[in-house]
Amino acid sequence: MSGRTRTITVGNLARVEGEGALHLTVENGQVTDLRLEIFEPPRFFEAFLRGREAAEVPDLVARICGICPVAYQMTAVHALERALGIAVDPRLRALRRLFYCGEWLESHALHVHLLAAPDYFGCESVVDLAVRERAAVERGLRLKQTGNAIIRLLGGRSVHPVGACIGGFSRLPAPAELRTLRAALERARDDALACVRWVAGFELPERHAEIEFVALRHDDEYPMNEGRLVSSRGLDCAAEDFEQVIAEHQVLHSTALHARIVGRGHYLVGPLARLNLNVDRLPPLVAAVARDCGRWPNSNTFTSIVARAIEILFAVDEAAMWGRKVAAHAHGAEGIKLAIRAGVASVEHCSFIDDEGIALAKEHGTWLVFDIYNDDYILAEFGRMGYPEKILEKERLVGRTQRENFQKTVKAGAKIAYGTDSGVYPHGWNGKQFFHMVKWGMTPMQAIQSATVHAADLLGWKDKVGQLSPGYYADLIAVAGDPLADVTVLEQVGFVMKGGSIVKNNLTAEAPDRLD
Amino acid sequence: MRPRLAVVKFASCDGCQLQLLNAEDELLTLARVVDIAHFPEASRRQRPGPYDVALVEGSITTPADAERLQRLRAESRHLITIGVCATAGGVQALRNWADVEEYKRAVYPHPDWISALATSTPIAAHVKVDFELWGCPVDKDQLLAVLRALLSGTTPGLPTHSVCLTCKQRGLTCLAVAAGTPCLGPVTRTGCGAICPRMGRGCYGCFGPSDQPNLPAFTALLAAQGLTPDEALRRLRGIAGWAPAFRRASEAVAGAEAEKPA
Repeated sequence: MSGRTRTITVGNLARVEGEGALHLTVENGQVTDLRLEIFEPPRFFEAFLRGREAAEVPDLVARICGICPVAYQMTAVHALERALGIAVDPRLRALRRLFYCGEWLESHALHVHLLAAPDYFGCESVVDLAVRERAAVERGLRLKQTGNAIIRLLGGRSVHPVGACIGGFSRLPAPAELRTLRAALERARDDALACVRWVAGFELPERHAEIEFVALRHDDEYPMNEGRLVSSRGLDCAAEDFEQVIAEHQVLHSTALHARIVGRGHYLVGPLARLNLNVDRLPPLVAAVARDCGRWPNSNTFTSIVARAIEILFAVDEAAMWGRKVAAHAHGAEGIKLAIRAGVASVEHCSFIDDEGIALAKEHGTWLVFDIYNDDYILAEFGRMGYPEKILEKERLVGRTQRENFQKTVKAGAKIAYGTDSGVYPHGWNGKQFFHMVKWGMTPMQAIQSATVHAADLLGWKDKVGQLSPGYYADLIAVAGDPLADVTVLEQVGFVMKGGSIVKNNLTAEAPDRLD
Repeated sequence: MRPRLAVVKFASCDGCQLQLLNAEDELLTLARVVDIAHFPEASRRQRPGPYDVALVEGSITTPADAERLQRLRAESRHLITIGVCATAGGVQALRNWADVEEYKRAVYPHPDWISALATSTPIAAHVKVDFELWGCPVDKDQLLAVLRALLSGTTPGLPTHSVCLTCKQRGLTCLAVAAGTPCLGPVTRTGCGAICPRMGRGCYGCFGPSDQPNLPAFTALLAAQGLTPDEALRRLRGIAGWAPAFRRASEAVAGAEAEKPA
């Protein structure tokens, strides 16, 4: 009999968080004993948190884990806010998701590249793996670095960040600071795609486990910080009912409590469980990649590394929304105000903007873009094209109001950029709006600057175009006349230089081909 | 021969050793210049000592760990503590003012199955420590600076002044003076880059006490800012509460309270 008994003991499990050992006994081909011994010394968080102020809790519980402090912090913050009846602004909630994206990126990239992947190549560590898979390891480290940068932006540092608190963040990043993530996130998208394909190419064992998957599920998001507790076998309850549906118990060989679903048994959480239960909540790009790399849901726990890589891509995809400029096309007074309050970079049309909207735009530094030329075109052409009088009547009202509101905005000193809704009228007639901008309150120089320095500023290109300065694109036009005296001369552009090359010149016969 | 490095963990959150893995730009270079002989979080190669440098994370909270530390000291030429757990007992040292048996009962249905010492103590309470690096977590750049100094045979030189000076260097408005915000900056060791004041909140002392902190003046300041003795006590008994200077200060506050006539 003894010849058929095999005992495997791993005294110190490597490349995992925390400390544990594994004992396995196999007799006659059957596993008769399996113990995951977590010998991590107990630190008694549940005990010492008693009697502390609520505001101290997020900083204390972060110390449960150095790799995923955000999860502990934010879980505490959510629980305390619920207990105190505090609801946060949707914008703060969105920033919190960004904070989570940072941790998913950091923690998932660490897990995939530094903890799990070496095993698939027979390597002892990421250092050995880097010899064989240098590009993949460097990519993984970059992804991790980007995640850490996100956490740092919102939390000051990546391990035990200090920014999250009950009610929001102790300090909010300025839009310009969020934009500093842009370059890293664009690169991270390519890196994440390559990472998913790399991991999906691993030779994964096919071992399907009879196990219940448990994760959060949200009405319309891939879940991160909110949702109901659901499982692959029909569990569906509010997160605060956790203690009714999950029972914890202690085993002799482990300092970590075990948990079971009441009346059933063990269950699995983490990326594979989450993806299995939420594959229909992935945004389109990520969903397409996920479909390409596997079947979800599935019960092969070895595919959790693929699920984790897919969540890296998801986190990058969501985080990359930040720092983008949003242009809101809005005519109505209320819609305009909502857009400004939501933090858009610009509002287009602005037809019925009211005094409050103008004041808000000034306060928020929002660019207003009034397309006040095309009323002329519409009234001249649409009647001829057979549009009913009712529509023309409305256009007369809208056009007139929009121009009066433009005038008010100029007087109030809110930021105006040049935009014409070109396409309503033939392309190339864009310059006809200058006349109206001057007629309705701007000086010719203000009107010209709205189309040059100010428009460049709105587009985020003010360091490249919009003025003639060293280091800027040599993009310029010339006209036959002085636009400061008569701004309509800008409607006939006689000379165009793009990037230093002349592309049009009807003004002089002997112009050089190139300006050096 | 490359120096042999061990990274060893006791009671801790893994955050300080993670800072080595967070040195994304330097990690592969570091692995070239030192022989990472034992670093279970990073490698399944776990070679026995002796080690030239042992980086120790975590505090001593169990009899088994106390023994394991003795063995590690015997086989390590330089033993460096990384972080507040190893250097001052860590947040888990809050048990030192409580009854660990009651703590066991509060957390575990079978407290008798749990082996835990009554106190969480720093490494230096058990063995000789060659250098102590503060922080919860340690700062990545300070950690690399310490390794660099050791590898080049010099003594690591790190600033020991308070966070206040860092705020001044960074041109930050003083929260304690300007806003009356309780801030441990005046008595806390620099090294984090004054991140809490930068994030608009008071420092909570996670780098431990600075060199020669004036705690009596500081606790008087907390009182002047309107904190009750209990609130002041909790501020001092946080992440680095068992560090001797913070501990003496919090015990002085508790003692003064106990002596008050009822």
